[in-house]
Amino acid sequence: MSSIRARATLTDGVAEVRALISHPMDPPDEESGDPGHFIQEVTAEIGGETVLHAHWGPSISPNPLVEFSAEAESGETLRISYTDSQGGTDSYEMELS
Amino acid sequence: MNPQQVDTQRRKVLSGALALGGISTAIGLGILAPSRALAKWQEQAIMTTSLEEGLSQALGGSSYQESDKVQLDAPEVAENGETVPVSVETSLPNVESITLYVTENNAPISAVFELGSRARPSISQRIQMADTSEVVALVKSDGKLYGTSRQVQVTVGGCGG
Repeated sequence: MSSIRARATLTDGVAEVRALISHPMDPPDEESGDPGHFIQEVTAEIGGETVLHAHWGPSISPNPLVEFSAEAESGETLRISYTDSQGGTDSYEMELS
Repeated sequence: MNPQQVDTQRRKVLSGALALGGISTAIGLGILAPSRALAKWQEQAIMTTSLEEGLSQALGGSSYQESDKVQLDAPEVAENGETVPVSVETSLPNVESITLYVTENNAPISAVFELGSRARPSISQRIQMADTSEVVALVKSDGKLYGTSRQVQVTVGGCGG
């Protein structure tokens, strides 16, 4: 199962998207040398077009929740993906309706 | 090189990039959405303890104009600094990016959101705050920076900042 869950409502040609990612968002610890484990980039595409490219750091809350909106049409695919500081990656796709 | 040659060249590069690894490669090379896409993770902006340096890295400058066209919603008091809900919305045109920073956090810049042409300039995000601080939302519109700030009182600080 994807670590990303998303919900989208499409109204008058605008999709309002709410995405929740299960992720520890552990910050690095300079004293112990622990590099941490946190999401660095999140990309959202609608119909193959990038609508959002987020640059995150360790000060984003654990299990991050992000909301955004973009022009969209029914039947288009919403794709959300991320990469984290340990090279981990995941994605989620849904059809907008 | 005449414009036609440039165009042919560009197409070649583009098709090559797509063959290599898809849209993200093309964006990484700055070919798609040329003026918008920052190449990759803005490590120097996100991890630096210097706000000014971080903003210069990500946005090309740190000074901004106060604007009531940037709306920032944040709680006056946050009981738990680990999860503070923040929302930014703007009526400014041609928004390229929205940036959130917390002046008292060790690494002040929480997030930089680049927006594609179909995106509405509206973002909500939960952030961590180490201490009571000013939270600032910056909007890059038509190449200029506009912003607004809110003071958020934090009762128990989050550790991630």
